[in-house]
Amino acid sequence: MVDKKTVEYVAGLARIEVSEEQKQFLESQLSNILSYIDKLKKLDVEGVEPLRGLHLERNVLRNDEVKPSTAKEEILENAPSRQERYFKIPKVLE
Amino acid sequence: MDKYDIVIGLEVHVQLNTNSKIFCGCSTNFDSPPNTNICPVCCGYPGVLPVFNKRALELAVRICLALGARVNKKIYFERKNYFYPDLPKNYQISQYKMPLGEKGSLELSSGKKIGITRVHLEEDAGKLIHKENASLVDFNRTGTPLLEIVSEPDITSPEEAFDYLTYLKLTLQYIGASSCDMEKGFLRCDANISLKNKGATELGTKVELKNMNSFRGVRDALTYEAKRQRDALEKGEKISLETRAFDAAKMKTVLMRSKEEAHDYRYFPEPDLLDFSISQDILEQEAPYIKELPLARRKRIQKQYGISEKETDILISDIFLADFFEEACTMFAKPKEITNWLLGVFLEQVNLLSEKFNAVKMSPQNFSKVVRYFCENKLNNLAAKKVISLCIVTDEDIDAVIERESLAQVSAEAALSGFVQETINENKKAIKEYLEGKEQAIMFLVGMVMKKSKGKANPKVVREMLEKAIKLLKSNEAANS
Repeated sequence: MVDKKTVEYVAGLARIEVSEEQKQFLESQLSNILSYIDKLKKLDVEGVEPLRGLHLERNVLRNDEVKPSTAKEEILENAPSRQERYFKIPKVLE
Repeated sequence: MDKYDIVIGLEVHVQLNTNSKIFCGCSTNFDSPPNTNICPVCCGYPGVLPVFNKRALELAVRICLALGARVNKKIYFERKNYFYPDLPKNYQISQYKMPLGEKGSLELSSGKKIGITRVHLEEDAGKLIHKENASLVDFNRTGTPLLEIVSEPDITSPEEAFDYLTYLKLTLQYIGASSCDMEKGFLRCDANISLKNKGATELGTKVELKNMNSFRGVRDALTYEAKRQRDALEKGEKISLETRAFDAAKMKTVLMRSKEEAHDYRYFPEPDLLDFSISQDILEQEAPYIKELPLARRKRIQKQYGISEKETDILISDIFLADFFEEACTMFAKPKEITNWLLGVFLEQVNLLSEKFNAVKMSPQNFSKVVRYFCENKLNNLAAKKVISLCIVTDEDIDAVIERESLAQVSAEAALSGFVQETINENKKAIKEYLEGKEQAIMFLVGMVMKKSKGKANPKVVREMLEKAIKLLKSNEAANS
């Protein structure tokens, strides 16, 4: 079901490096998960609305009020690299 | 473009006019220092919960109504997954399967209607600043509410695309949903363009254009791209499905990425946000804001005030100007005079201000008073100009300014006769020229009297007095000789 190419593709999308050994392991593990999903797919859900969550509550909204962030300095301190108030990263182009 | 039809669709992102972000209470202030409007929610820290901003929903509904789009009764958000440094969560909360609005349209001044495919809510990404050896990230913009408005491929020329953007922007400004300031990135536009054989139903391969920073840029990029595609087709080449970036300096488009590198966003429902139902209440609450859209106002203003199409277009080009004009007209019902002064002296002064209309303090009442004083000969042209330039950012009492600067026009002949007589005595040469038929010589004399009166004299009265005096002079001379 899930071949090595698919594992590499998914790892690429997630920007993670996977060793050959891990690829083999993931191949079988992901296949297992998908075969379980396939079982679910066989269920007849005709006319049943998809459920996106377990809470029935709707329209949880907040008023448009500014609440100054108290954590901004801590967030900035978490940056592996900084320049003044910016997060500094390797140069990207697009 | 005789052999081909151009097919253009536009994808516009606008920032909704809210104080706080779409899912957290951080400020949307554009001018804040970098990374000050950030919190665990918009930076995607584990365990946080986004909460939807009510005003963002209201403004988005308002835009749907203005575009005549069907508002879906139930909406939900989805995660659009991709890795890029301007996106701290590595996914963007957006809408995919169930957008807020569908199937609307926007009418252009030509009367043509451009279809709107869909309107959906999402959060903005951060900003990248590229330096010599590194890129810098500012997450202040991350989580700012955006509305994406996707048009049908109904646009058939770069000019029409320009028109569409102009009216879309005006519409959003009129209903107060977005400032659409393109310089600040509050409105961004990507375009899809393809060519097809004239009259054919089958569409050609489309190319996506990015990186246009102005409406003119969009027009220029489309013009270049239409020509590039046409030249390629003429040479028998195939157009490939790709994304190209516009280089405004070189006025051309360059390849950004081909289809093979296309993103795989793996959308799935956002589990941290529940469904939202759009009630009748919210539709009714927003309906009053779309009473008169720019095109309707354009038609009404032109008809109601009897001014030219060109003048009307300038008046409606900014809601501030349109409102100011109409209010001024209620105080002094001479629309032509109001228009002349508004589009002339007033705009001239506004253009000197860096904040443009935002900096204007002068009220339409005071403005109309200046125009009225001019029409009633209480202020001459120069003095009226001066009052407007003095009051535009202060809105002082007009009468007080006229008094302080002693600008009131002098029309009384008794007060002017001394200056007129002096001028007659001092300028024999000009009078001789005038008598010999040189009409302009009288203007020189009027100018001299104006100077003596320190600009306060009523030039019309001065001219009449001068003409009378010269006539008298002439008849006296005739009698003497």
